[in-house]
Amino acid sequence: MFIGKSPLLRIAAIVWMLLVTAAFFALRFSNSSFMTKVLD
Amino acid sequence: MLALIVLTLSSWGLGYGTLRLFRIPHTTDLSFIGITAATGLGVWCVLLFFLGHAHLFIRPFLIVLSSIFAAVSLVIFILKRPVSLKKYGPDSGITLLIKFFYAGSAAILFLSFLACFAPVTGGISNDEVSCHLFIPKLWLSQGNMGILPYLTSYQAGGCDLLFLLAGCFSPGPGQRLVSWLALVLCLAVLYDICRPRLGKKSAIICVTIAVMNPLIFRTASVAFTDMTSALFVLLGLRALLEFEQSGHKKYLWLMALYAGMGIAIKPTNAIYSACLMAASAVLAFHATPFRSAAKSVIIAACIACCIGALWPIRSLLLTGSPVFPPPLQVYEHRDIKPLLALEKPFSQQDIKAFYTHVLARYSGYKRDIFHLIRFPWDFTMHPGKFQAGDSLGAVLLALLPLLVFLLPLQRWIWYIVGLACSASTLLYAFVLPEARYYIPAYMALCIPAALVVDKLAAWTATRRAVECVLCCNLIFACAVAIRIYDKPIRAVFDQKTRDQYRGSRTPFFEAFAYLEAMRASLVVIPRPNEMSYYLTAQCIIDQDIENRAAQYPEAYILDMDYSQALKRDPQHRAHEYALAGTPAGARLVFEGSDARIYKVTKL
Repeated sequence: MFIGKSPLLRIAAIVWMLLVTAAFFALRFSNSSFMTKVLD
Repeated sequence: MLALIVLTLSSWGLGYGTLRLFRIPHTTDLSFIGITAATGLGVWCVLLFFLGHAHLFIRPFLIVLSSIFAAVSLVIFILKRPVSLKKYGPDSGITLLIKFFYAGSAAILFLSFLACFAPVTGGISNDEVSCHLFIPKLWLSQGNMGILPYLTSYQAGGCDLLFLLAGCFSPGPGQRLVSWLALVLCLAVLYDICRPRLGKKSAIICVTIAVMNPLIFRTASVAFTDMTSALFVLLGLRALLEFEQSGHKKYLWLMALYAGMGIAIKPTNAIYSACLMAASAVLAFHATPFRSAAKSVIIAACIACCIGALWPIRSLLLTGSPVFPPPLQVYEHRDIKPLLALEKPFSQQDIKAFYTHVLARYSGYKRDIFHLIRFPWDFTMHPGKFQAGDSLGAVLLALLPLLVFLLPLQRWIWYIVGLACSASTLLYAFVLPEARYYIPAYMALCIPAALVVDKLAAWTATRRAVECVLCCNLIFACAVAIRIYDKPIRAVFDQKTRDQYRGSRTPFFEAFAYLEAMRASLVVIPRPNEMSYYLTAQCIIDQDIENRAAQYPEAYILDMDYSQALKRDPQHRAHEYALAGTPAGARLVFEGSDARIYKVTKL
């Protein structure tokens, strides 16, 4: 596994996962209220 | 509920016989019961196809037939005891996180199960009503799979026949429970693929990743064909992986059977089935000598074609094209083949309008290589563009690209990723960017996603990040489930809420309620309208009813405002009635906001 050889890759993996999740929730929760349009 | 029990039991029996035919060894795993029942669902589809053409869609006959199958299956089940419950004792090393996954997945599954019992609502824009409930209902009422004056009847597939069977027991909830059952069986197949290869913990994570996808659990609680379609792709994938592992040809042929059943279930599954067949051919030629491999692949292709060609042949005979709607280029200079039962054939213009209607759903979304590359991102971040309605969650996009960091991967993982990516690309390029069509691919990709979770658990920091992503998404999925199922579930348990729920969402609701209250036995409608699904009385279409009302003594004539047929929309009411006035020999007995009812007076 590439990731086992480099701590930098592990950091990159963490950054990617958190970035995607944050972007997803930011887009979901912007422009409308939580219980109306966001979840539908 | 009876529909679910009878269908599951009878399917298990049919699946048991089929797997014995292929000499597949039975294991005592609980998940294998699911695989057996899933196989039986495919057998049911083929059986019902022939029963339909033999004019045997007779409700009492289908109820008795399925009940006999279920009873025999129950006896075999008790005698064979195909599951050992001893090995399903409590786990000793279960972590809090796994408990949370268990609880979250179970809660979502339970809510989606309850939502199946909500009343059916909506207009033509709801495919559930206009295609998957209405067409089987008409076939059942006419006793066969004869021609219907609705374009959607040519898009039907084997799954609609399962809906027809379930509808014999319980119309509405019965059909939705077929979809829900398919989700549970999909999870069983995923678990069965993962457990021997990745371990129990990863198998549970894989199942959780599948359940926490809002698109998946929402689709499972409505009578759509997508969950059943995904089931046969996963079954085919499982058989392919067994073939890859063992090299036994029986798995190759079983995979071909599933590929064929997949096409028979839903026409768009042809692409997944083609990819499965291509993968199996690669595998066969890689693992065995050329001559033997060629022979095996030809036999497999024959099996897949025999089962998969049933619906395309029917479509070819009826319309002149094996797929419906037909490719427009094919019909550039001629109309589609006339359909015998109609007053006039569908013209090329009709088909063009159908295409325009379907493409309008994507509001100008452009499909090119640039958009294809960014498709996974767009799909996750802007689900509204692709008819997803709900999001897919962020799990797959967050985890799957990390497979690159885990190279080199085992060959079976490449098969899964290759199958999902190639089928998705072909669907995107040649069919539609409709979110539901990709559900089989999402489900298959849950396996590599579980692998990523498993591998990243080796380091504390990456493990914490993965747990954070999974927990956030599971909480989000639970919140989505509560929100979307709130009203439907309340409508299940409370009569007042149920009436409000139906009334606000169903076009012509008051007119249907009036006809039900009057115990109407015959209703005549002046033009074909899918909304006649809601009628409990016998329904006849007569386009010349204005002059022929006297031919239907004591009948009711229902004239619906067509501008409300898509969905109940008081803001855009155009009063598009079919009848200019009261037909001769009839009198107006009901005038609602969007429908009028006339009663033919006694002669």
